[in-house]
Amino acid sequence: MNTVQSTGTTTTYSLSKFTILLVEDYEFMQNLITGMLRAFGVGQIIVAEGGIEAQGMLNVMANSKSSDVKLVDIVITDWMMPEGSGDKLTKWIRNHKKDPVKFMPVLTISSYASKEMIVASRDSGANEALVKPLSGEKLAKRILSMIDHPRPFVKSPDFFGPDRRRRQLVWSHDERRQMDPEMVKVNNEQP
Amino acid sequence: MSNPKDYTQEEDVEIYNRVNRLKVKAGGEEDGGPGKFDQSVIDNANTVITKMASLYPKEIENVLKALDKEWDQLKATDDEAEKKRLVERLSNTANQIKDLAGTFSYTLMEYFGDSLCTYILETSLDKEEQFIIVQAHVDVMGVAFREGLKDDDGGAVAEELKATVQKAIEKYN
Repeated sequence: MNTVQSTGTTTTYSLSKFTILLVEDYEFMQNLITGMLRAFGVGQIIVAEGGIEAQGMLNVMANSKSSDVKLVDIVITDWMMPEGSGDKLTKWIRNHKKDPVKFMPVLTISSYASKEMIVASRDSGANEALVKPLSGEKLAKRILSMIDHPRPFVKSPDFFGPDRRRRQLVWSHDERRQMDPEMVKVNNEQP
Repeated sequence: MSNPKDYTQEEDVEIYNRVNRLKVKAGGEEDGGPGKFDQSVIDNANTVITKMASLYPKEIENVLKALDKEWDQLKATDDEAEKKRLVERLSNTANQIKDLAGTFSYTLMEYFGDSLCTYILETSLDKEEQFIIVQAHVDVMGVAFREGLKDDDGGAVAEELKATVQKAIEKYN
């Protein structure tokens, strides 16, 4: 599907202009996920076999002066890899000195169906986490979430990444944060 | 519950509201409502999974063979550097088994792949008793493959295999 259609108020998205960096060490899984991304109509898929190779690629893209070289739109990374884990890669991205890399949307994929992994992924600064088994519906949901519901980024002394609070909960206990909301500096990017 | 953090210093916390480039690139308007994917796109992605699932038996057989080979090499070597390399390889192969089996809902094989991978990462295999636990994993994964067992939540054989590994861990760990 390479065309964008608007039906009423709902737009049918096209990923034909997207470039996605897939970071996956296992060739079989590379083939599976790239096949799924092609089915989604992703325009360009770049594959790195580990976090370290991905860092090199992102640095080359970020430092290139050529207008032909564009940064990727989304990074999809396996969580556990021998040559640089998804956790380390995500933290490296969030600590990058160049904004286009620093704010890059990151989706982690793991077969760990544990709360600990989801929390670790979130705390590393990932936007979304996808737990196997894979399905078209699950992948669509995660990509749609990154497109439709991008969370503001938060910088605190011990974290940089998308706001880790997805829902506004009524907190019935003592307030743990002691900072006056008016002291929070808000940076709005200009289009 | 951890102690409250003291965010009292000015500019300790900053919020960055970014332009939504993804939405615009996908064909939406930045301040427009939620969009969707065409159902045919999602169906096509599921077809890819179904096709790849048909390759699972051959692929898992190959990965189990690689695991056997690495395990035999590890048992045979006295060289510390080689041993370290093979432990890493073994851990990676166990992770591949977990990934592969988990992707196609072979939950019993995923369970053993996860258990072996976690065990190697936690112990680094520096004691002889720990080799018995790895051997138990290798053996039960071979049985699970040969018997074509898929789910870990049903069947006496699956339960027996899980108990075999658990007993080995309790006895030798």
